Amino acid sequence: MTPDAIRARIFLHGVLAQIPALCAGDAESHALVRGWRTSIQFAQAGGPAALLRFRDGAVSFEPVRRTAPGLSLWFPTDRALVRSFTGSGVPIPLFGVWRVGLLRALPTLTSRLSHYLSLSEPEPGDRSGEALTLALRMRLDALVRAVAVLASVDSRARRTLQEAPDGTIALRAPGMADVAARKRGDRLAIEPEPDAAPNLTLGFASVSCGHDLLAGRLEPAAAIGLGSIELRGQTLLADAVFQVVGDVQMLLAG
Amino acid sequence: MMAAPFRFTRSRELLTRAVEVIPRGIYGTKSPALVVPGSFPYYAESGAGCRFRDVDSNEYIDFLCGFGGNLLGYRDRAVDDAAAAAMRRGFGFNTPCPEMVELAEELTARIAGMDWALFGVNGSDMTTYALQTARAHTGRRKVLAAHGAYHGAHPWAVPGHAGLLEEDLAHVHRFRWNDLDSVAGLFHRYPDDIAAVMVTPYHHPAFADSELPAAGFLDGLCALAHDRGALVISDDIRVGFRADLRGSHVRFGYQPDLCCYSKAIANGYPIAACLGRDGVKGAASRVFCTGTFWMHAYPMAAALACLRRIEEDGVIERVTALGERLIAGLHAAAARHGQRLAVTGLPAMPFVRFANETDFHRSQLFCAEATRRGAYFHPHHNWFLSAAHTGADIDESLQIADRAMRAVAERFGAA
Repeated sequence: MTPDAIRARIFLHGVLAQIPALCAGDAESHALVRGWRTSIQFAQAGGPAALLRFRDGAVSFEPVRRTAPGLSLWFPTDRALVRSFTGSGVPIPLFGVWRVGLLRALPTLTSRLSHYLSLSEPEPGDRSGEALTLALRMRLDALVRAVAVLASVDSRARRTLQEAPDGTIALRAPGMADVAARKRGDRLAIEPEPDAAPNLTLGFASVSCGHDLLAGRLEPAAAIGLGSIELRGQTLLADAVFQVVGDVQMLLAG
Repeated sequence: MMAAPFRFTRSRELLTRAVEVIPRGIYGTKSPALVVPGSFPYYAESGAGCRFRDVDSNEYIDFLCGFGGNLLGYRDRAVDDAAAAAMRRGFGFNTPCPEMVELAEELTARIAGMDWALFGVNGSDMTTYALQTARAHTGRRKVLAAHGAYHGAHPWAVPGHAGLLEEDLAHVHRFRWNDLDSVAGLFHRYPDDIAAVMVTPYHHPAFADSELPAAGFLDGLCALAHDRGALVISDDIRVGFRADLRGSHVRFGYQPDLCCYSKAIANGYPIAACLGRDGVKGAASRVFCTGTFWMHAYPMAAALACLRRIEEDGVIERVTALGERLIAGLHAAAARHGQRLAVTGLPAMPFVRFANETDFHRSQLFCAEATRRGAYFHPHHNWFLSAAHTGADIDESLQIADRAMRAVAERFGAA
């Protein structure tokens, strides 16, 4: 699989999956979609797809292709999809082109998404740190999903996960709902509900520490040594996931 | 009254500086991420006997022993004097010194079935050299090794995948320990392409129980390999000289063609050795191998002194007895607090975990509580005993262990 094909899957199944959290946690996004009762499909020709369903302010994400979505956005190639997500290209509306209002509103939504996924410093008006906390949760969730994508298509990532012990994972930060995942065999997946006794817990000392790690300002092992991250439980599993995270970061930077 | 838990201010300061100028701050097996940060020292200052002192002046009874290198105790006088005498003559010459010949003679006389020896610095040097020798001898490409077995940090063996190519691992195939069928399956799959099977005397992965060889496993493995024209390499780097001075293959009853040693061979001085039988000496001679620091005399002098001490002082029997005493005491402490331990491996290098978990939460708390009170127990790696430990050291450590066990019971309840 080409790097662009993997990136396309990461954007579809990792990044786009953050829209529900965005619409739940960001007032501007919530206000934007509050009246929407539709679905939007993002699909690459002959490749992956994902569907967002909007209903009265609630949003759900499905990493699958569905028939007859309210709006279908089509990307002729992996590269086109990637460029659309990185801001240098636009999708082609295949069905639902008559939904002009929706098409006009989408860039606002994706702009908010992009804002949160790149947010790593406190915003001037965010005294409580809510935005930064939401951003961290979205970024961690997207990263876990990206690891899952890479492990599904890359033999080295798959082998690294396969060789690590199975178990449940909790990514934790003060004031943030846990990001929960489960590693089984050579696969990693987000879990809807956290395990009461996860096999591995990675606890960030602060939301800022989490962002520092994701921004590459902290190296994981050093951060653990210095107490910016508390690791408890299955260390080998953490090591395997961090290795694949490194591959994801390299892929997305490439 | 039990002393207050240690503080690690200076260790933390040094690590803070280190992360600016050293990848990960501390890399590899000594990375703080592999212990329990906040409860373990990161930097040592000095050591003597079975104890070492960290940079915050905390003193530990050491049950990791420099990951096994320290067999006789830190600053063992006989070994250090021999090394110092060699060092005083100067080192790093254009040629080796007589100690190299003496050590090769000593080792081939001691290690059963081995006729020649060659030296490097680290265990990885020797496992890789042994593999190259096997390839040169057989004209084949592949090596078999057990799942989870650690054979060094060279690309064909190192855990993880960063910086590696698919090609680095293309000819490394893993079998299940104690499963002769899985070895046979690989020989069936690659009938004329397996150069060697690399085994440890018993299975001692980190993060998992040690497993002694089942009856007939290593014997059967050797028979299978030899029948198919492959060599058997004994990676005796970790177990070596804590099981049998004639080589751990004598203790466990198998006949390798090549044996690798390091760690305890010179009580922590930087040296590794590969030994082989006559039949593979020709191939060994054709493999180019060298290193600027591979022929220094002082670690060889240290090894000669260390081997003498191991024999004359009954070191193997001593570390075994000390290990048995420690393990019995740990089981008793666990029982007093409603816990159950699973202890595997040889008594001189036990792997200790709590029987009702495999994700190490209890082990991490137990080892953290013990270490920050002066008994250095590693939560994920097998421990080591040294001949410098005494019964009193074990008893003192068990008192600390009792306190740590109580913390486990308070946090997690009875098993």
